[in-house]
Amino acid sequence: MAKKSDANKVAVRTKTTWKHAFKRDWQLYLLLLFPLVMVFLFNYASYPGLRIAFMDYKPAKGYSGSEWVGWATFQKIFKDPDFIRALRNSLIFNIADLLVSFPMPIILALILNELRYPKFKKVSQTILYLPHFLSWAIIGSVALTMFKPSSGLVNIALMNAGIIEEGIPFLNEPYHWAVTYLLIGVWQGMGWGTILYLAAITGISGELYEAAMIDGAGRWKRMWYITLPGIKSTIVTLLIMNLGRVMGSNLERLTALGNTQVKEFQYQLAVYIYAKGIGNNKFSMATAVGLFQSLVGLILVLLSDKIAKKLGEDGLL
Amino acid sequence: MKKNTLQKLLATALVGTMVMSMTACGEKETTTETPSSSETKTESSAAASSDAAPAETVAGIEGFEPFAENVTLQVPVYDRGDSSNGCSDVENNYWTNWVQENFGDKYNITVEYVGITRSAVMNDYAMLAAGQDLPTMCVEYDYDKLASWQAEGYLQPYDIEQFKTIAPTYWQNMVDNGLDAKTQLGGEDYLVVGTRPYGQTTYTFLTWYREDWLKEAGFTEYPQTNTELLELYEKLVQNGHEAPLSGSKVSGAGADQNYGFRSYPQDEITWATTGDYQIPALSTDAQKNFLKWQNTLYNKGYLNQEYYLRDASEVEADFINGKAFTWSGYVSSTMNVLSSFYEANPDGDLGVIKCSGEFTYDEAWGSSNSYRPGGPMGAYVSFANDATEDEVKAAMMYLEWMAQPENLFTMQWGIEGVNFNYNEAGDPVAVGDQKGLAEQQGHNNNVDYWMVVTAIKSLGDIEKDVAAIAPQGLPEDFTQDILDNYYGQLKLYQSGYANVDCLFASAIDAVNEYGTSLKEEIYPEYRDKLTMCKPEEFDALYDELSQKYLDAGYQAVIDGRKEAFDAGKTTRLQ
Repeated sequence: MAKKSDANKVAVRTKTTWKHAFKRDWQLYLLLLFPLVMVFLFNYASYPGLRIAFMDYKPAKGYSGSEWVGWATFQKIFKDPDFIRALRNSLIFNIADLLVSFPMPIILALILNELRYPKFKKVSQTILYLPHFLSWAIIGSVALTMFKPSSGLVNIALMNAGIIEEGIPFLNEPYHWAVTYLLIGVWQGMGWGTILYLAAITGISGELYEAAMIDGAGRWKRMWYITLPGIKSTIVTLLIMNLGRVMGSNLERLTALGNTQVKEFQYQLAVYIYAKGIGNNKFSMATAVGLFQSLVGLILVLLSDKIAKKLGEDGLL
Repeated sequence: MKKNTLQKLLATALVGTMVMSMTACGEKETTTETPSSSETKTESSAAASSDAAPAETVAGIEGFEPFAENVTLQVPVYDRGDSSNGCSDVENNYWTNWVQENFGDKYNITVEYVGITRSAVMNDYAMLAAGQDLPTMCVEYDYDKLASWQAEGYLQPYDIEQFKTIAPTYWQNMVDNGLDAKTQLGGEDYLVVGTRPYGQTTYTFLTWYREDWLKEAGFTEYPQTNTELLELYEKLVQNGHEAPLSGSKVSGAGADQNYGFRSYPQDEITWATTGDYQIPALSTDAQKNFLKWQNTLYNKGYLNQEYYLRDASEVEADFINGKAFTWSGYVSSTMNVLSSFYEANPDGDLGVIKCSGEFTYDEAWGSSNSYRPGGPMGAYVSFANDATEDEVKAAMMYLEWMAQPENLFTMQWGIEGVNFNYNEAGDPVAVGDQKGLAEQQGHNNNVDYWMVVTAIKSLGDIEKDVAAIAPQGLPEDFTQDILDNYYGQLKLYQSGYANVDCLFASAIDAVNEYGTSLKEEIYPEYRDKLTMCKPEEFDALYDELSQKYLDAGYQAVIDGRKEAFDAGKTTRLQ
């Protein structure tokens, strides 16, 4: 009898209508309203502005007063050697950034997960998260103080220790700068990047570890055969999302760490958009490059998602 | 039940807070309760000038009447960053409130000051234009910027007869200084122009040097040629003054001026096509001379070897800390750099580099003691394209009000006993240190507020003016040095060895197209390569980078200017 009553209850629940659901959970829907409005406002409401890319847009004349030029801006951009240089640099640096920066949070999360003394673990995590909250302006000035070729602290220390005779050009020779730029990026982002992986690790059942321990698996084996496979889907999701950013670049980071001696590498799409587009009042050019970046990013995300699914992963979409 | 009520309350409160914060994001902070500018624009347009009429029949300030509906007047003011603004907040301080009380309230105008980043004027205006939020007046010292704004459609032409009626004092200032012929852009009246007394010289821009170092090096007076300067620098280094010229990276317009490296008398075509200071003239002989000089200074170790990583503030710091031989800046009665220098170097002895008045040319370096005279033009003022009729009138009234001697005097000098005192001769002398005063003036005695009328405060007499602006409260008095430099430069100007830049009747397309990237992006990179290369590589590298610079748009700039020059649409070399 009791079983029948339970079955009826289940049947009633499956027929829940929107009206009923809203009445029951209206507080939650109300809370959802704000983020939805924000997403609409900042992600979709600005879409009509993309037509700027197809106009010779003059801010003071507005949309109606500006001339429609079709693909002319795109044609001009693709013929511009500065754009090609910026595109090449962006691709090279973002791929390098992905190769260097992407695995670091995973490794760090695995290490943090193995720490046994809780207080030490928490303090370590806090210290590792901290750089994420520093602005690039601050990081840039700290980097200058640390890595100037002759008056930087690191070079002074190395020279005083007799390890080097003249300063390492961390910031003023393009290849050295590239390494400095990438490593500072790793330092700034790796701590924060561990959060999602640590959250995923906590979702792995403790029973698996216990069973493995009984079978004689050491720490290394447990990490390799339980933790890593356990967070594989998170890794794939984040990799797909990161691939979407391969065309992007961070103006603050490039500006804070850049100087005239490394322009050859520092000149990336964000610099191009700002210097040649916005700084030159060429909003159409800036929008066109931005649109191009976004489209390539979208294609990369879709492609990598498809590849991930073909390889048997869940993918992103 | 209680739990449900609590949940409801919490949810409602949370959403309410979110909505409130979202609304607040869109609000502009203001100290006075006035309608937003867009509302004001609509209202005042509707009111038109029928019953809200400032003086159109009675000329000048006597005929001003309050607007029937409140009008919002937005006035740009340079924001130079905390260290050099003087007063802390350029948009809201004692003096902005003073203008509101003495001008705005009287005529039912809300005066809003809009901070414009001094080092990013074009960007700031572009952002404001993109948001359809340009200030009522667009103001800049550089003619090219106004020409560019006009070409971009930021500005609206004005009725010159209306301006003469509303602002006769201002207009008369223009007439007296020959500026009434400089109102047009592209054949229409767009500009009103502030004056620049003593524009034949650099007037307030001077270079200080360590006189004690000079004497220590065995020199009795400051060298007149670059060849002599090199001898001096060598001695300075021998005396233990490492990298005595300090140095910082170049940025923006006005960097690397080559006036002292040109051939005089100047060739008129070269002067018109490449003789400005907005776009550095890489590819010209003058710039080559200049950069070769920089290359020598760098390679001999007289410039800081990391100059390309350093800001101008570090040069100041070097000078204050007794590590630099020279420092250049604008003279004013309050000069923090100099007062800090004397605090840090109580035994320090400073001198001012003075123009002798005789043209001195150094064959070895192709250099001379010439300079860039500012010309009679102060700031150019125009009106934003979206300003309503009433807002333009309010702007004209503001200009006329600011041009009244008593208002201008108060803005420039401040309050007697607080910002200035009278000397025995009855002339005002500014208080040197105004830090901490509620009435503290903005940068350089409020210049960014009164620049629309004049670029320099003047009592009408050079001796009095120099005495008034000479830095106060220092162990040394530079009044005579400033005067000597002024008279020397004036003599050079009158002999034709210093020329005001060429002005164009309308914007040159190529300048708009390539100007910013040439000066902001390409030139800094190339000039540093040329400064830091080995001396024996300089000539070949100069030719190579010049060609790239020309290809990147400078040739188009030269061609555009030449075309305008040939068409008679430029000023001529005096």
